[in-house]
Amino acid sequence: MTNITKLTSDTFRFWITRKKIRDDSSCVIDLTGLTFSSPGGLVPLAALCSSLAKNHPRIIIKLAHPHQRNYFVSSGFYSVLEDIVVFEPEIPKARLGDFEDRRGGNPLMIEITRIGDEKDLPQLLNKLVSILRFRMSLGKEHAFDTAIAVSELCQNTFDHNPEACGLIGLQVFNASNGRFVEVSISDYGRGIAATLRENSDNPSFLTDMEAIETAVLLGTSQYRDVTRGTGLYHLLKIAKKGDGTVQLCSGTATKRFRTDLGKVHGFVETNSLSGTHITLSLKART
Amino acid sequence: MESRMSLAKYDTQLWTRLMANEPRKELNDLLTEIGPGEVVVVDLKGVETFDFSFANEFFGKTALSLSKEHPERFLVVENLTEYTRENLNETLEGLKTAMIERRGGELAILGKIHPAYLETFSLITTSGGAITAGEVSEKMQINITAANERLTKLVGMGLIRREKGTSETGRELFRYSTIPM
Repeated sequence: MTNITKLTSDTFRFWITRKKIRDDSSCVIDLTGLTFSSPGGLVPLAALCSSLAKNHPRIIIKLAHPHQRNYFVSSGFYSVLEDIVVFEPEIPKARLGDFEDRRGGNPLMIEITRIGDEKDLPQLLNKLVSILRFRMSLGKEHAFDTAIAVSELCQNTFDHNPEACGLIGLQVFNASNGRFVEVSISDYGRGIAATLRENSDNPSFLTDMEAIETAVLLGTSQYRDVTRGTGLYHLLKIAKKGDGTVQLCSGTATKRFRTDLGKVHGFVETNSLSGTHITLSLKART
Repeated sequence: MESRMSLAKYDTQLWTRLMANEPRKELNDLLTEIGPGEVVVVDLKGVETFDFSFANEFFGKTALSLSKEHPERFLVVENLTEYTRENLNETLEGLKTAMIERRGGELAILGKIHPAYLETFSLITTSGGAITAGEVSEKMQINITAANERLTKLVGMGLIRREKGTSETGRELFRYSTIPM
C-alpha cells in the first residue's frame, strides 16, 4: 500500500483508516510522514482531536521536520488544539512567539478557528468577506458566495448539535489550472444521519451514504419547518456556480461532488467518524 | 398608503436566521399597522448580500404567512442588486412562493409562480386599472372559471388586490388590480 504523505480532504478518511485512528480510542496521532496538508485535512483532524479529548486527558500529536511544524503553527492548527493536545517534539516558545507577532497577516489563509458563539457569526462573516476581497483579491460575488456557504455550514454546527463544536479553516492555493479557495468546516457533533432521523417527514434512509444524499435535497432537515433544509442544497448550487467541489463526510460515508466535471463519487470506510466534515473548493473569480 | 422599512440599517451584509429576528419583527409590526389594500415596501438599497438562512427567515416566512396573518396587506421589495435578486429569487423558488418586486416603475414577480399566473399578473399590471374576471377571460381567451381560478390564486398569494364593485347593469362583481407602480 502506498504511504499517504498529503493530508487533504481527498486523503483524510483513507489516512485515518490507514493509521487506525478511531475517535473513541486513539490518543497518539503520528503526523511525521506528512509532507503536505491543507485545511481540508487539518480541520477535520482538529475536530477529531477535539472529539478524542472528551475521553482522553492526554492526546499526543507527533510532528516531524521544522517545515511541517511551521505550517501547523501558522495555519492555526497548533493554537486551536494547544489546550487539549501535547505536540511532540515541543514547539520552541520563541518560534510560537514569532508566529504570534505575525498572526492574521498571511494573505492567503484564514487560520483554523473554533466557531464559538452564533451571535459572533455575522461579524466573522463580514471579516471573511473583507479578507477574501481585499487581502486575497477575490471578486465581490465570489467573496459573498463563499461567505454564504460558510454561514450556512456554520449555522448547521449550531442548529444540529447540543453545544458549539465547529471549526473552520480557509486557504487560497495557486494550482497549475489557476487559483482556488479551499474552505473546510468540521464539527464533532452527532453527524448527518442522527440529526435527519429526528424528523419523520424526511425520506427514509439506511446508511450514512444515503443520509448524505438525503441531506443535500431541498427541504430535508432535522426540523419540521418548510424554511429549513436549504443549506447543503444551496452549498451545491454555489459550488456549481464556481465550478467547485464539495466533499461531505459523516459516519462511515464520504461523498464528493465535482461540479466542474459533473461527477459524483462516494466512498465508504469501515470505521465511523463522529461529526460532519465538509470541504468546499471554488475556483478563484476576480 | 405605503409604509417603508430599510434593511440596510441593520447591516449591508445580512447573515443568519438570528439576525433576521429584529427586522422581521419590524416588518410584522408594519404589516399589522397598515390597513387593507395598503403596502409595506422593504427597501434593500445598500444591502450587498444576505445568506439563505436570513432570506428564509425574513422574506420566506413573511411571504408564506402573509395572506393568513395579514390578509389584504401587500409586501413589495425594492432596490435589489442583480446579486441579491438572484439569491432572493432562489430562496422563494425553493419555498414555492413568490413576492412582488417594484423596479423602475414596473412590477415583477420573484420566486416560483406558474406561467399562467404570471401571464395573468402581467395582464393586470398592463391593463392600466382594475379589471374583472370577465375581462381577463376575454383578453386571455380562457373560460371564466379558469380566469376566476387564476385571480383567486393571485389574491391568495398576496400579489393582487380584489375589491368589490358593481357592473354597469348594477350587478355586484370583483375588480382586480395590482399595487401602485
